[in-house]
Amino acid sequence: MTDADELLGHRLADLRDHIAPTDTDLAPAVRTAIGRAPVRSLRPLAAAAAVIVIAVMLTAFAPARTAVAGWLGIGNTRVDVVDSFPEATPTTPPPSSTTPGATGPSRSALPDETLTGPVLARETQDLAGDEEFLVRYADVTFSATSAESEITIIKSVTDAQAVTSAIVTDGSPALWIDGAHTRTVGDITTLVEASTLIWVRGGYEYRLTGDISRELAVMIAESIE
Amino acid sequence: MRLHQRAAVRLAATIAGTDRAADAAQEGFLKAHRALDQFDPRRPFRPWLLRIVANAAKNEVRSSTRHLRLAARANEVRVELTPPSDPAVQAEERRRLLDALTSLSIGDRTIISLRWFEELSEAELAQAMNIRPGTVKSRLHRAMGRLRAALESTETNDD
Repeated sequence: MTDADELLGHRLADLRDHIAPTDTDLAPAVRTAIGRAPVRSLRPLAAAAAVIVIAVMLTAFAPARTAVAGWLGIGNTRVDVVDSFPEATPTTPPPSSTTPGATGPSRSALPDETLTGPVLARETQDLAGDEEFLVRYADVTFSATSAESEITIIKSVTDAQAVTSAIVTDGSPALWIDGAHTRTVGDITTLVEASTLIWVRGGYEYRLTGDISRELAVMIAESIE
Repeated sequence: MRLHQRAAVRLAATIAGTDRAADAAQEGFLKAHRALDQFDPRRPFRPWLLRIVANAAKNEVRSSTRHLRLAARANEVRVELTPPSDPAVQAEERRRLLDALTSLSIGDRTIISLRWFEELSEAELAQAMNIRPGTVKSRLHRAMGRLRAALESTETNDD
């Protein structure tokens, strides 16, 4: 830490005690809320999640990303680099002009489906500066979230049927959730009827969700640069 | 809970503003209670809790800006200071520093608040912010640099 940082830090430390505290004792309210917290039914939430996913897909906008080659079991799949997407569902995407890892204005088209490339990719950025991108294939959905603050807003809650295990992919800590599980984003809990691999690398939290084996998921994860 | 309440509210205030701090902190405590089974007892509790509170505060900012359908930036928050009981010049300096702090992004506000208000260590910062321990220093340094620039900007404007 530099001297300038240290000096400014001391001023911040002084400021700390002058930030107005709340006069309210939160404990009673929290106790009450805990006492009445309902157990949510996941069925309507799963439907809502599907709607959300579709809505988000329609506003798809993809970032530059690197290639994934040799996805065993999924064919010659790759993650292509696209900067923007048509707003409609990509039933007849234009021919790909994409080269994995390439940059430039030509990266504006969806890969042709015959390439078994992604059928959809998107990038969103919200007001708080969080970015999320997603690449969707027929079998799996790959997504990554990077909060500008690097605080992840996604957490996973496994249910009794799911088996959770901590593993390592390519030196990064990872979590494998085997089978259906619930996922909570903010206040919305949804049922994910697939397995998920979550790993953190380079400030991003990556998630790979699909009806695939753990071994395959790890291989995919390790193939992403 | 009361042990961490002040820190939680202060952090929430830095992220979401004073008027939303209590709600955000309360939501954070509630979520932490629900997620207690996911807490790893081998790791320190405080960074874990503050991370949840920070997320709750961030969600509070999001939901309010979306609800109001405003193009407001998330960093437009107002954090109140205690009434000055000391020389006005110090109070003015604190106000200026706080204004500079609240002009930063949520991420910068969070890491600065966790470091200097809540006095988290680098390892705890990494846990609380879900970043690699090796990036804590550089992240904090960059955030402090931006705070310094914001502070200088406000001082220049005042001149």
